[in-house]
Amino acid sequence: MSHPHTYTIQFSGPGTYRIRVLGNIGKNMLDLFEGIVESVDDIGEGKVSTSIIVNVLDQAQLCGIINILYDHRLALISLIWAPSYNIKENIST
Amino acid sequence: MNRSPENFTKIQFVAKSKLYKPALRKEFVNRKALIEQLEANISAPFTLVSASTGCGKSITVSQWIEEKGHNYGWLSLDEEHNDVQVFLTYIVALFKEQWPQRTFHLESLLGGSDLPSNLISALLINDLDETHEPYVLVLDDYHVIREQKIHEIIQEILQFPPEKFHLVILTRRDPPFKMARLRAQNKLLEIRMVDLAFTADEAIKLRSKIASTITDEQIKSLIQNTEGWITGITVGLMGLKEGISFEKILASLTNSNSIISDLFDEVVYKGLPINIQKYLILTSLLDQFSLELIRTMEASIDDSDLTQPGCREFIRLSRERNFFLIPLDSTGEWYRYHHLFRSQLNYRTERYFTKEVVERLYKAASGWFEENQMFEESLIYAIRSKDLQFAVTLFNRHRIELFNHDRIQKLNQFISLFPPQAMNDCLEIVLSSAMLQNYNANFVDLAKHIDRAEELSKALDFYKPYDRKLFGELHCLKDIMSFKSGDIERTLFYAEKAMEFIPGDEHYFHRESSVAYYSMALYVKGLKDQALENLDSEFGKFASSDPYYKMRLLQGRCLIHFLEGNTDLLATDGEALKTFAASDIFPAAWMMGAYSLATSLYITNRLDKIGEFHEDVKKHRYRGWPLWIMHFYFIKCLSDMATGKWEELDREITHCEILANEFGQESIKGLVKAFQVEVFLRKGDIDSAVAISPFANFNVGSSFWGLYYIPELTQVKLLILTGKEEKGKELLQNLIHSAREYRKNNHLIQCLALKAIVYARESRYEQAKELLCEALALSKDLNHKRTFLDMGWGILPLLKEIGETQADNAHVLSLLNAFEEEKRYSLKKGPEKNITPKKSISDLSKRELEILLLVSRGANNGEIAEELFISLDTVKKHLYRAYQKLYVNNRMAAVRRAQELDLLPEE
Repeated sequence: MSHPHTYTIQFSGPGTYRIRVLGNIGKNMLDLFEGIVESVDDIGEGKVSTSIIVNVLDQAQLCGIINILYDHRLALISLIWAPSYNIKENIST
Repeated sequence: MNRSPENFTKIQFVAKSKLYKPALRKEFVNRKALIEQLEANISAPFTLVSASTGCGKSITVSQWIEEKGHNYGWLSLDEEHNDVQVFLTYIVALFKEQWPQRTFHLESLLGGSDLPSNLISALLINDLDETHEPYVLVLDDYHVIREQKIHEIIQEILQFPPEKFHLVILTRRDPPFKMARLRAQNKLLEIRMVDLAFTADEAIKLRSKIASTITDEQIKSLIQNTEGWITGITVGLMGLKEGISFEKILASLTNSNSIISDLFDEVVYKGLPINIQKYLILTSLLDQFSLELIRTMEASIDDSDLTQPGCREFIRLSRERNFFLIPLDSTGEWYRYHHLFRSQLNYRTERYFTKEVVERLYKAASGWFEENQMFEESLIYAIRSKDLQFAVTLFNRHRIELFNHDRIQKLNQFISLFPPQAMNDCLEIVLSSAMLQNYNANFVDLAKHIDRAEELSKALDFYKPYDRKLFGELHCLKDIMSFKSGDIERTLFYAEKAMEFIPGDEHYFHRESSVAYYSMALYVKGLKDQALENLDSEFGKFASSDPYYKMRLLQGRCLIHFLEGNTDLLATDGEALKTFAASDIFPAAWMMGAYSLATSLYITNRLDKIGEFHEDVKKHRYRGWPLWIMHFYFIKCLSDMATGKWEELDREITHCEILANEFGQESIKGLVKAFQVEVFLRKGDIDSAVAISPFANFNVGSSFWGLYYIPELTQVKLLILTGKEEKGKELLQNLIHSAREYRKNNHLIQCLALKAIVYARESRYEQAKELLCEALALSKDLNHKRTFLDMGWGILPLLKEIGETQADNAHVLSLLNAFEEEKRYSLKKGPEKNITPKKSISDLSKRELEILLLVSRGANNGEIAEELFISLDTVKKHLYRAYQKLYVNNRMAAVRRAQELDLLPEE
């Protein structure tokens, strides 16, 4: 899927990302990178995937999150820039 | 505190627990296939075990080493190993464990400054090459390494691996190595997650060890859902043992790979009494723990759940229920938790202990480590306790000891552990850092630190003994600064205050520094005897029984001899200092001794002996004070120049440059460039000297000790030879003034001799002779020779004239003899064309050149006298001087030589 506005992505600036991993994410881990769970989806054969939204200050923080997921043995399905996602709005709803 | 040198080596800087290989227990399943795979690759240099946490990396490699009985060193890396020096210290500690009797090339780098990776890897390779038995080095948790230099060192070793050496890297993520090349060269065995995954057979063996009831079918299902992940399978089996249904375990495994997190409460906590739960949380605060340490911690908090029988029960249960506890030694004294398990416990800390209690626990741990002489750990936990003052107090207790033992680099390392604001807020750290700046010849930062310390010291209470010592330290720094800026009265004032505030039984380093500066200031005031007496009264009474005092006494004496330029005493006290300090115990003091002796040998023109211990200095070049080490190298270079060893000179100059880069301090790099300018000037290559002069630092601030080489004099020579004569002369006059004021005879002789040459260039021979006579009078008793010889052949006519007119001319005659000796290295026999001087500071004067020009046109002495409106005698005098300078004895030869040297146009 192409993103028309990816040119506004900054390496050293803030950004919002949607990360999908296989399985569930515990609250403790979520606290580590201050993300929120967007949805938990049934992907068949009794398995689920979790979609989380994270706001990061820069790519260094994003890299740190990927490392946390890896250290907790969570397989990455996708990671995509999601600039239009408003965390505050979704938390309040 | 016993300060005998033998005691210093006992200070612990290596945390032994980081050198333990994980001990094996019967619960572990033997991984035969993997062990054979590892063994089959032993002839290749490298095995990379890269897998996520909980895959059994460490245990598998530990089993292989134990089963096959390999010689090994095991280093569990952590954050601190990102410091190259710390990394090397641990590597040397490993080597020392394996080969206690051997000394290693790598040891010469310990305590040094910023070093290039290729140098480190070369020495490491050499050390391992000298090993005749196979050796396996395991670097565990390599993923914590971020320092590029360490990656470079490892890669260079793998590029040129020693024959009997095998490196195993255990890491959670691949290191940034050029893996493709290693794969192509067959230098690499990779063990990855898929290789570490448990097979059904292995899971069945594990089942029998955990005594879990599970069918073979269920095992297969477990393996499928965990991809063979050992920790997942283990937790699953433990869960079954605890009565959790297989369906629930499977569901958890299917939808959450954070299986420990999901099953933690049920697997670990179920049925555990509250006191055991608390013990689990308490121990999870520690990177490693022992029973004794836990007891100390529990005693520090008032918690009725934590009592001694509970502690024993906790250890028993931990072993029985396999709380992912990894034994760190074979005696079962030290343990650490599995990373995943520990993080789960950490999440629960707040449930059991308040922040205040946690801080108290950290403090208690810190205290225990300190008591057991594991200072690094104790400082780390003190900093974790968030009580900065407590950490500073702890640091302060040890920093004084570290200062007392000249452990300068170690102090640097410890200061870097503190959060940045500590550098601004904590007086002790600012004071320590200031003293380190002095050691690094960084006087700009020293001044800044003193200003900050001054501000912070306003909060001190003068009547508290501890605060008074800090005042003393501040005054000690101020006396250094005052001496450097030439304010002798203030030096005396501050040094006296420092000695008053610092008792003689604790802050030895600072007190002794003040005693030394006080004595130097007395010397400068013309009270040499009092200066030496002062040193004697401080150290002398203990010097006969305690080598430490003897060493400090000798250091102080050497500093005064440097100022005085007393070559005899520099030689005797330098030699004694070298002996008492011993290179491996007080390297900085030893270096000062070596430099004192070398300087004395050089000045008195006994050059053949200097090379004798230069090799020794090279070995310890990273352990002393960079400034003194550089000056030692300069002495060697000057000696090579004087003896015509031009190739050796070039090599040493290159060494100096490399070393300065390795030290990494701009001031030192600039100093080396200044010395290079000096060498070019002596070779007569002014163009090269000018070209590098912008990078030179002629005012490093080292001159105030009276060290032999004076960068400022190089600047004077450069200015004069590049047409800025007035500026050069002004600077020279200032230097003469300062040398007189400080009674730096060594410097004064050099400055006066140079000024004599400058006068001679201007044909002001009478003034030149006058200055030279003063320099000779000063140098006579001090037996200075090289200063005159180094001025070159331009000084010869002046010396001869003085020799002819003086009644007591023994000193001048000995110098003239030395010049005759020196002829064999003179320009005529120089090995390379490019070292033939074309133009030097002791060149022909303008008048002499004019006369030679007329000679070259065929004029006789009478015609010349007429042409230049001077008397016939004056013409003869000028010609005679020109012959002397050009090493010739007739007018035609003089013209030919002048033409060869491009001083006159060819006909």
